Amino acid sequence: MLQSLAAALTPVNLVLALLGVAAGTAIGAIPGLTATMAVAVLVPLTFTMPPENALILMGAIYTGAIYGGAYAAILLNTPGTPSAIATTLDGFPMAKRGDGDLAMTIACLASVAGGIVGALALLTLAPPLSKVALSFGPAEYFWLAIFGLSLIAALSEGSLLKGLAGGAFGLLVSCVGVAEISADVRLTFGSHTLISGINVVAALIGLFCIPVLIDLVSTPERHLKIETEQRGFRLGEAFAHVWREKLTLIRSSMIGTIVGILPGAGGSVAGLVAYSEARRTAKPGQSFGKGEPAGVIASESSNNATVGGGFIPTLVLGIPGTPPDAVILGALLVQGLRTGPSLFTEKATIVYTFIWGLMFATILMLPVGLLLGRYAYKSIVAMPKAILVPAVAFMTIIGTYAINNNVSDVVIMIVLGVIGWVLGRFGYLASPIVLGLILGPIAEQGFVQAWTIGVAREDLFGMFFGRPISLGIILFTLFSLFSPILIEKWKRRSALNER
Amino acid sequence: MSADQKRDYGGASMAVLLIGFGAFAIYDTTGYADPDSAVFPRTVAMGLIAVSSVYLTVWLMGRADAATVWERGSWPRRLAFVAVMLIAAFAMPWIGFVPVALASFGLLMMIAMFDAWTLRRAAIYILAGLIIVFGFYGLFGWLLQVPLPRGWLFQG
Repeated sequence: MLQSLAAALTPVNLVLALLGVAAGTAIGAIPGLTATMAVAVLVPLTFTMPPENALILMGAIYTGAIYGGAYAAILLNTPGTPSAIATTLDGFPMAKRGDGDLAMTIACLASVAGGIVGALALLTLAPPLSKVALSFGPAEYFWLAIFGLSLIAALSEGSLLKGLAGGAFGLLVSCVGVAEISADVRLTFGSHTLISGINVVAALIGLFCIPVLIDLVSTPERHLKIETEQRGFRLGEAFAHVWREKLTLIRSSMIGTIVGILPGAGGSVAGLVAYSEARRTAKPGQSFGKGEPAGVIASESSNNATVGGGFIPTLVLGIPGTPPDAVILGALLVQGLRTGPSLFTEKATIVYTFIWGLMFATILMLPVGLLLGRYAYKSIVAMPKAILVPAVAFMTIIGTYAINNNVSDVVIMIVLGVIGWVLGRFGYLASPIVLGLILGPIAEQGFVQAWTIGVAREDLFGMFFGRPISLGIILFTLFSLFSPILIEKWKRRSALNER
Repeated sequence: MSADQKRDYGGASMAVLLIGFGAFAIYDTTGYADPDSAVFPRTVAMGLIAVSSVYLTVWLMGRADAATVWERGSWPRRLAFVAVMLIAAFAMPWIGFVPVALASFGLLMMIAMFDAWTLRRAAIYILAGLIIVFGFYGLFGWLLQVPLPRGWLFQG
């Protein structure tokens, strides 16, 4: 272990970690360029490197890209990567009221803390935690998606009914295109453009960014409140917020690690689950959705914790926990490394050097993130609207095009943006729609597979309700949904009794 | 606030449209070859219709939330923005990425401009636009190797 620690601290590895984090952060900050794309694009650079150097560079790019997604989320209300969806909910309101610099620093601190928790889990608990991934079958994924959908209650500002309708609309939109479980073409209105379905990243950019731009061009008011005095990084203030929310930070990092372990779930689900839990356990006076720093802490710590968590099944079982892990897994095969439990014994030096390297890359994210974040914030705040609007619009077009090198995605992004703007005007918010879009495929696949297995075993009830993890998730979903109502009733009753 | 402002006509209209979308989804499922493909969208569509119907009922009973307050702003600029974005997306395969990007950048710049144009300001903004367009063209086209559309009209 000490040998690996020393190997991770060599100048080459530290420089690779630094460059990887900086490149990843810059790529992740551009809407449309996801962590998967950041890793995929830069993977060929690693083919000629020794395996540990290659892994450290890829891990650093990945963790940097996940963090970089917060920039656009906070400053433009557009998640730079899907992992930063929940960051928009409080990050953008903070930026609008003039606390964008504080939000950026909080996001950096939370991302570093979450990343370290994920890396620590990878370092110490990889083999036992990988069993969690194996114990999740289709029914568990279905119930996990249902739990995710219960977050609509937390994400619905104003009308719960409109939130539920928005979530259902998102679920239906996720069905558009060729069904994954069969060859049926669904809900395309006869359009060839829609046959390949609606890309989640394109939808995210459209639903979050286009409405902001439509409103931005309509009035002469500034995009964000400009700061009148030099306030620096506001590191002390940010640290105080993070310290005050240490329980949220730890809980969210643990959620991120566990969700990261589950193949197919990823940073977006982790961020939303952690955000919802933070909101459910809010202290009096906290106003989530209106610029609450704890919301940024929950989202950013959890999404960066998925990096370490996702590497657990990737390295131990050869099952990628998140999409970027799948790309890294491919690169490992090119390097001649076969993943599996034996990797931790046969290639222990390489694996532990990488894990330490990931830890150092996460720590290096602090100076890199603070500097880049400050620069991004000052640039966006000072930019005249006549430059900002076309620049962001241009980024949305080129970023969306780059997902599949397809103009249809750009058209879909714009149309969804207009639909999102119209629905938003009438109180149907983008967040529940996006939640439906993300969780729809997980819920459908889990449901149909569990149904098929249940019918084949002639035990449908047992398939859905008889498995311990499924029951645990169902109970937790019910607890999440009804505990606020029960606690409120209990408080009222206690107050009445005291009188 | 007047009674009309309180009543969420827009929200109710959207609920009707969502019910229509749900009905279309159910109709669409009748044509699927594999019944497994229909289970999920049909269930969700029924849920969408149910929730939207409950909202409509609540609205008809006058118990729905007040309408969302609309932000004021220029409608011509909003519409022009959407039109430029859509035209840019459709024109890109024909005219090519760079000409479309430059033209749409310029148009969006004019749409989003609220200050008076001066020669100095115009020069700076145009220069900034060129740097952004060609900077991203370099990043995506060369560094990230994204095959950006070259345009059919100008190919031999």
